[in-house]
Amino acid sequence: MFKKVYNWIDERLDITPLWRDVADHEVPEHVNPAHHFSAFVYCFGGLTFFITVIQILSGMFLTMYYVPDIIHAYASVDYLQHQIPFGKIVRGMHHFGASLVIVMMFLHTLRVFFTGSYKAPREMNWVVGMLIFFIMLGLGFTGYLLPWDNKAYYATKVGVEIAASVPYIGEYIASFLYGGDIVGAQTLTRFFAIHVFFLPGALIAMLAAHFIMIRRQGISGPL
Amino acid sequence: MSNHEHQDSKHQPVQRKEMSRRQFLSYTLGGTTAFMVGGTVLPMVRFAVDPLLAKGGESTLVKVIEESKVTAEPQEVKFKVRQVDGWYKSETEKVAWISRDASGAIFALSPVCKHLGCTVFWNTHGRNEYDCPCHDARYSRDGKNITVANLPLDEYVVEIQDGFVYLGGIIANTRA
Amino acid sequence: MKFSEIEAEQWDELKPYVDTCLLPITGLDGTETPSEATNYLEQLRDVMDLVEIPYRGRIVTYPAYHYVYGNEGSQQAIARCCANLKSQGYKYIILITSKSDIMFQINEADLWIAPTEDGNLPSDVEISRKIRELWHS
Repeated sequence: MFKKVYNWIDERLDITPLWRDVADHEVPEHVNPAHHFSAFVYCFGGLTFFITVIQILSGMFLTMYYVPDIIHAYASVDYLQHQIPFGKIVRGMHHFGASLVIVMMFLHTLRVFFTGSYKAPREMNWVVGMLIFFIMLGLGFTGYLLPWDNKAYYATKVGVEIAASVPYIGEYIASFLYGGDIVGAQTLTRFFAIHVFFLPGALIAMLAAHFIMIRRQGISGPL
Repeated sequence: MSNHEHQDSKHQPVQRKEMSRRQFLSYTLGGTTAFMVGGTVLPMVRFAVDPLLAKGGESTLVKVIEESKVTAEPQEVKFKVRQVDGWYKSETEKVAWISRDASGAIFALSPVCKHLGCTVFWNTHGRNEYDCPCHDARYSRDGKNITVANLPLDEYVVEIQDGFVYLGGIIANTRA
Repeated sequence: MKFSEIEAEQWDELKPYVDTCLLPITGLDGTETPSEATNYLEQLRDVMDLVEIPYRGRIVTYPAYHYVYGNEGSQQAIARCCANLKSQGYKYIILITSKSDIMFQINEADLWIAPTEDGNLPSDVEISRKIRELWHS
């Protein structure tokens, strides 16, 4: 059944080369844990991507119930977590996934560093990777405010105060992030927009660049 | 040619009924992928379709009185409207004056005076009209404004099921 | 209507229709714990609802007179307040309380709504009857 549908489409659009190009390539021996178990360190990049996909999916589902407003934000999070079946799990995925993605990304960075994979000709990919790292930190920072509880409020206050200590432009950064002078209604909608539209958009673009480059240049050779 | 064919059949591998290595691997891989995708996506889908599975949400209509007890003479009924809309919950007590018209159809009026919002009562002055205690506004049996007020009394949506009268939201008067 | 619900620019238009003033007398004397004070205020609110909601178009509720000490001084102060309200244009003044021990004679007020001597709050039917009698007298 599936095969028939696939063949029908393939006859017309010739889609086989498309996915072959993406999926069908050999894993070098030094990267394959079946050959050398220590090669598992090469999995962290893939795991980071896997968790990122879960983050995007669970985030999409969370916005079905969440409202970025100072009066209702906490109530809506409380509702989706405690009243909706599987709310605990979906929010749990997003909550714990956020920490896990940082951990995986950090391990991936360490692997790249210690295998020297950042060296020529892959310097640009290292830079893009670093940009992804900062985008992830930004996602973590903006997402932290959204439940609008005490922890969220003070974490944001402290975070923005740190940003405000930047010489010369600190004040402008702070009022841009606050959307005013205090952590309030404007901060919440701003952080929501950044968390849900701006940073994920940037993240997807950067991930695409990261993957295109690794396909172009291939995985770096064995040590 | 025949020779060639002969050679081909000779080199054919032994046919075995067992699962090939390739098949086994693709099943295992497919199964693992399906398990992981299912494990992450199913909770999310269940989370999203919850409104479909929530047991028949309380209708906004409220049962107030037996149909047989409603007469041509308006009666006061009090009822509570409980609304749960996600994380918004509200409960309000409402009053309606319910009666039958000449053709026997049941209708319910909201006793909030259209002048300044006092509560009108039926027939306090013996004129078979709704009277407002505050500024003597008067309304007919159908809620039509006679004096003082500029608009007729509002009506409730009325529905009759299994011998009971159910009242819903407030609508503009349809009778006057 | 509550005093705070009326906008300054609305008042001229409303004034001819709103001729009755509701003045709540809470009757605290400072010996109440916070929760007791809350209880008294909630009780008072429940009785006030019976007046404010059905007659909202003709009655305006003023800020409450919270503390009462003995009869003499308070009586004079409330009487003064009622007289001022009347001279401002209110035709009727209704005093309302949920405490049974503070009902004293005030000639300037037209109606007292208070618990009966055994402490029961008045019923909505009785309150309605009293208010209508007041307006039709």
